[in-house]
Amino acid sequence: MERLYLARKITRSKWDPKPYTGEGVRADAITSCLRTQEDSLSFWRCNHDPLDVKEVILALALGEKRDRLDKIEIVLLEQKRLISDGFVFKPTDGDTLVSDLRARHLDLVELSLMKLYMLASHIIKVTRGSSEAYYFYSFNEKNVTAIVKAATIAGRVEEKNLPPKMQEQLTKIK
Amino acid sequence: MATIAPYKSIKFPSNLLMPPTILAMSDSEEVSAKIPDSSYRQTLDREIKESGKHIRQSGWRGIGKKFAEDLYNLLKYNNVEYGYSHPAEQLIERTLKTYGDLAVPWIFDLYDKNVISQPQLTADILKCLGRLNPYLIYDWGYKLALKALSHGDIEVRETAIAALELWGGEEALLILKNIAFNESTLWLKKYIEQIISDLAE
Repeated sequence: MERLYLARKITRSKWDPKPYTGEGVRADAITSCLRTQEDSLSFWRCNHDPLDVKEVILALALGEKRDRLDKIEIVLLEQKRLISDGFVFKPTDGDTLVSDLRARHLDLVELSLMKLYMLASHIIKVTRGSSEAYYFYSFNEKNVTAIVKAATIAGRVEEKNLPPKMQEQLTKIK
Repeated sequence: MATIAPYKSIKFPSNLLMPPTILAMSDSEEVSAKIPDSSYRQTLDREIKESGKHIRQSGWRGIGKKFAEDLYNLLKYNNVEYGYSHPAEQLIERTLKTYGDLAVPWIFDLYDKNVISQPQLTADILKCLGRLNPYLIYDWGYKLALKALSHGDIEVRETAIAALELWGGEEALLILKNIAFNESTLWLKKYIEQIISDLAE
């Protein structure tokens, strides 16, 4: 049976330890990458197939408030492990200009400090490479721009509807 | 006969060339004492005109100080995030377009003052610079990135690499090739190798 994953955008460098954290997690990793709103966090569903991962990158790159294309880093956490840890999911429309991807979105809701700690522990397993069940992906600016360009060519999003800076970036790739 | 008050060249980072005609005023001198006679004023006017700079002879140090304060405040209270423009980018771009190479030491100074104590702010400076057109940062931006690549904080190194990716060019490729072997963090090393591969295409 195909494994399902939940993807979350992170800043990878914030998850590396500092001398004062020992093997622990930096506070900045929590306050920057796991910043909750209404006690919930945004995730995107995908499987481990590279094409499916690119769909998540596309959704994130064209988040409605984003105005430029930059590198994106994500972690994939296995959904069933999060379920067994008692996390609660709520499907919600994703914040992205690509309408056919909005249904992939869900929120982890009813989060508490303990749940955030558990979530951080899962992410640590990804970033420290101690689990095969999780994955980390990094797409540089060129990769992200190419993914968005392909989506405009396929007609999934109209280039003219993108912010001016993004349009400028898209013109630079062949 | 009027004597020429002491002047000194702007302290640029090592190997960074500035237009040789531009002079900076001594830190210890009052601005009013800088233009001791009309012949010097004419010389200075001519030199500034020749270098294409339209800067008032007096007060540019004040402009630099104000720029550094404004930039610091913009970055200190609002982190620069990937995917989102930041007002600091416009401030840096506008300042570089207006003051040219004169603004470069202002940026280096702010970087140097915070490089140890505030790596996040240092990284944010690099993120903003990375978003500028390469002609605005050539070639001092590459030198700043090279400096940042030896920083102990991984976020600073990562943003320096990201800046080099955005600027591109032979210089970026050369720098990345030279530091790839020194990077001990595996995921960052992979990122460098990916960019080297992209830039080499």
